[in-house]
Amino acid sequence: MFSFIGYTPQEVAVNRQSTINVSLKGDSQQLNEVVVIGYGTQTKRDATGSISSVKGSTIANMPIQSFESGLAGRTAGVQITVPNGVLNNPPVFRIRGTNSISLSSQPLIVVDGVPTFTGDYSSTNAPANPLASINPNDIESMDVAKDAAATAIYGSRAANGVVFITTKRGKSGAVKVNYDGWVGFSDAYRLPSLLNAQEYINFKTQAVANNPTASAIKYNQINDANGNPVDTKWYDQVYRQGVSHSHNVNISGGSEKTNYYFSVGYSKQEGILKKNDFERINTLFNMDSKLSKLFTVGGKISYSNEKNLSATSSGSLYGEAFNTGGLGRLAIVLPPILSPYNNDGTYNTNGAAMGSSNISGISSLSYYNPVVLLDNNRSNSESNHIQSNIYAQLKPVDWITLRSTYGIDYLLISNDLFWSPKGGDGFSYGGYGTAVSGTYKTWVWTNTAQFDKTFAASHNVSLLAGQEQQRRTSNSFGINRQTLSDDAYNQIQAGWVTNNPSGMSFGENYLLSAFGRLTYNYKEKYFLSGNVRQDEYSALGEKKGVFWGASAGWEITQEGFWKAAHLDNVFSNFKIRGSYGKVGNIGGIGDYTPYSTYASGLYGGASTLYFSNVGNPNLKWETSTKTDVGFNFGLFNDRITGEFALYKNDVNNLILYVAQAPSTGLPTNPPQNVGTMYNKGLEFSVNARVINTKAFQWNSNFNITFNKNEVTSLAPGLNVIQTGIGGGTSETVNQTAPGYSLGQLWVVRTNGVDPATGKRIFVNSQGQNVYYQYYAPTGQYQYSTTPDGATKYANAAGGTAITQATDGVMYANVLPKQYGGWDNTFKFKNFDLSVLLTYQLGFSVYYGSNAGLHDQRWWNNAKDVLTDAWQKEGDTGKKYARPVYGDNVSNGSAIPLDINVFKGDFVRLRTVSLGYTLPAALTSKAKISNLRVYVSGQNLGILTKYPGPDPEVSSNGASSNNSTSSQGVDRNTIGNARTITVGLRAGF
Amino acid sequence: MKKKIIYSAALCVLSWGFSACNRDLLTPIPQTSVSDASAFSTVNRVQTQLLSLYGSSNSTNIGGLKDGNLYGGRYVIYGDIRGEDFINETGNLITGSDVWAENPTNSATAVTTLWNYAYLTINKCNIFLDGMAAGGTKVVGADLGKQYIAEAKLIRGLVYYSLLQFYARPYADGSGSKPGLPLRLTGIKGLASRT
Repeated sequence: MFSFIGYTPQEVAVNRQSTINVSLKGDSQQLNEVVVIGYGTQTKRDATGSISSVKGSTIANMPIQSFESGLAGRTAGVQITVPNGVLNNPPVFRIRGTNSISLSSQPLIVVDGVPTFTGDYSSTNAPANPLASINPNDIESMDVAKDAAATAIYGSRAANGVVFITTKRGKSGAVKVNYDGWVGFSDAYRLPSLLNAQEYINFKTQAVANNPTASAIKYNQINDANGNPVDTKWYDQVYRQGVSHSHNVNISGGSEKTNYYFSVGYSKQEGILKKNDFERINTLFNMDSKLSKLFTVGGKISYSNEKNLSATSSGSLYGEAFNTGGLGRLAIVLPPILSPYNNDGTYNTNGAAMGSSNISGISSLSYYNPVVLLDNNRSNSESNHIQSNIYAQLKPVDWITLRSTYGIDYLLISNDLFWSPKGGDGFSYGGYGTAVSGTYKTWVWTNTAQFDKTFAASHNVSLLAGQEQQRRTSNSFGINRQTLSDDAYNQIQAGWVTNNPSGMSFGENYLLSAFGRLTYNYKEKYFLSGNVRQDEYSALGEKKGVFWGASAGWEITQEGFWKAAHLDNVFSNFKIRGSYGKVGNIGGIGDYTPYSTYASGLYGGASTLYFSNVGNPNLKWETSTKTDVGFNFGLFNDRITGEFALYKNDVNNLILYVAQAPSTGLPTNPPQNVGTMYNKGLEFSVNARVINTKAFQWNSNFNITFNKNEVTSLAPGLNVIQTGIGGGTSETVNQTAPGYSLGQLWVVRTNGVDPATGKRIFVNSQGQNVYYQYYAPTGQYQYSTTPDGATKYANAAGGTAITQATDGVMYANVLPKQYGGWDNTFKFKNFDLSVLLTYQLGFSVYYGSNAGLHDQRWWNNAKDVLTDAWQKEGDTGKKYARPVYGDNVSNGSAIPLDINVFKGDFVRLRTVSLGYTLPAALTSKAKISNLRVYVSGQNLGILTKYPGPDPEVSSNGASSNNSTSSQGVDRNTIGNARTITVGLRAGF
Repeated sequence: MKKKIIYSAALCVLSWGFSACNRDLLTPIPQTSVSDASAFSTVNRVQTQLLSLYGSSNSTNIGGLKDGNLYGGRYVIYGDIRGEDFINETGNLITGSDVWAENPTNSATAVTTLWNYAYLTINKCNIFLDGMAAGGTKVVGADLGKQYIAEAKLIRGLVYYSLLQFYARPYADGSGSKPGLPLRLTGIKGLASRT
């Protein structure tokens, strides 16, 4: 077997030759590669749509829970943001920008032909991403379809792009057995530096002294059981080094007629947050069998059990940012002079809250003792996921292929939450538990007929006609129980006083479709293709829709004039292509959204019926009209290949829930198809075999995407949409308005700190400076237009304070304008090194935690208050105002301020992997055909000006319906971990 | 060749045959709530709707006369604190300082709760009255129908009267010539103009 990177391998029988001359042909392998295009495959040579392919082997042994985070930086157009360091949290996944406001902007994920569940299916503090059921080791390829031509075959679900996941199948030949195992160590990094006990006492005492009304407050240093002063490092109480390990075995093989692939995997991963674990057992079996010349059958069955475990809220998931028990927040808010335990070893608590007996003058801190929560509470979600399909394929003649596929996707989730009565949220209830069980089932039945014929040796035609039904049902029910009968109980089935129903939901939907695709090419020179799909979906008012996409391509290198100009010596391929089409989005619409319904309630023990949901019988899908123009090229015998594309997505009929006048008395906001938005941009990717010698090879792959997003209209009477963090009202920092990108940061401006008085200077809506003091002595005012505090501030409407509603401005964009990756692979003898850098540029992040880190209540502060807070008259250029006890305004806690908005641009060393393949001569003695050992690091370093732990962050996550318009927020979240793994892969 | 044609025909017939017979799944009937079209179709539904005009627990944004934001609490408290025997020291909107000072703003909690819930209740009364006129009276009979309609009208009148105490101009200002409250007398169940 003769092989060399970039050339087609050749096998030559030795026979009796003593010298063999072999000449290898240049490998247009790229063009012969097959990409999945929805109900079929196509060679890259024939593809006119915009599709990128990533091999499963690139993400196979990464310390991730599901494949999405492995896609970051690998292909143009794809933006992945892992929201925080909590395990199995669905990443924010965007293809060519954010394309929806109220519905999901996550792409449709199709696994072996069956669209699967996406999002967070857990109702506890441990997220459950159903895509974690697919072991990254079992993935053969991931094909990302981006433009209308490639996605229109999925019609009403294609607007956010489609990702095809294909699992491995066996190949004919000898049985292959592979083992992959790795051990990994994860650590939190870039945590802010906090004050220690002595610094805390000094600084906070100074703040108390600056506020005459707070004289009762005293911070006292106490000693622990050994007589040493208490100086608690709360990070050590909340974070840990996570040790993870993973093992996979797969067996595959086959004959000429049958092939099979069987794999079993076990993965136990520990997150950087104590008690946050992910444990998965999964198995996959794929088989194809050609029963006769005409008839092939095959199928797949995959079962996965995942345990998503945590003790309590991390404060990082959607809706958790302001939890008083959020572990991320507790670590930065609790004073270092408090000890988690009393000197007698009992928990230091004060009712539900953290014990604070050595801070006099404050009756309760309200925040909880994290050690009590970590030791006694649990918040778990276990999922059992079965994904299976079977197909039969008939080829009555060689140019007709008839195929029928039936697939199921069953997701069974079991949620278990327990709050101990010893402290925290469970204290006031005397113990609180919730258990909810959910069943989510999908079946899909697809029938297709494909006709492939070549006429007159130059006209290649392929026609696909198909019909598909998809049915989804969901139901969940559960119980919430309160007040334990015995302190030792902690299970939901034990004795409790009060019982309430919990987690009740019921839903069903049905999608009936017919689709077709026609592709034509003339001598592999001129390409035309068209897709059309009609979808009827039960959860819409106007149920039927037709979606289509058309594309054309021109392979210039086949032209006579090109060859005459000898350009084909330089270009091995150069295809110009373009596409246009209209697709839709229905992701996340509730099953009964179009209907107006009445719900049941209780009045004094009797049932009531009330109008509860305003529907819209004309509700239809969101529409995305996509235009794409570009070219693919290969230079110097495909030594350099690349793609370039310009695209525009015009989204209209965005579903918005427009609030009506309150006097109409409507219980919910009616959904309307009314908003418009666009994304336009440019993608460029290039792959080069930079150095290609026998001893040393260097392959480099670079991709960049430029994307501009703008909302162009909302609804009549709806000028802005404000999205609170976690959908709540504690803090609202994202505002969407026409003329701006989605979910811009909306904050109040400031103008530094006054050097003479140390007061925070706010800038009101008229651009005027307003001086603020938390404590206003008699005769002075909190908000004043003069530094001495004596001139009362009043705005045009008569208000006497700076508020976000009056003085907030659209301040910064949160969606990255440029993003991509740079992947370099080096091979030297038996060593290989690969380095992947990912980057996102042109966006800002609201570092809300920073407000808390400079809050002048009893909260702990970041170390920079010692140097950057105003101390005395004449201090210029200080970032933070004079510390006055109780001041939560100057720092940005009460009102979001521009001082907490930072540029999030980053370049991240995402993956570095160094491996060594043992020489074949050595390993074959042990009957091992290949053995590679490696060490790799993930998130090793990051280059950014962002002061928080991680600019790749999202307090609002990926999977709630408010997530699209509330990105770019870092409020009390846990940053991503840095992980080092050591592993080996053995093939037998 | 014949065999091939038979096989393919069989496969086609089976597949396409089974496939098209599930069209009624496109219009699912909500199983955990009552659809708009059938809300007045049984005696029980009419009676439970009438009860909801008095109040419903389990959820927010329902309204009802005895809801915590109306006669169940907020309305009564706000009435109290506007009396001369109360002083508000803290300037805290949560404890109704703007109601005490009699200068609430559009977005203050005091307004968005009381005003909102009052009109939620009024709308439900209107929806009930419309539904009774459209067919509910036939379902329950003329006598019961008259009684239920009277109850709904009483609740609606009482809520309007209560709102007037807070949000209409006093007689001293204009002697009743100035506009008071939006008068809604028909049920609204869908998109409405923003007036």
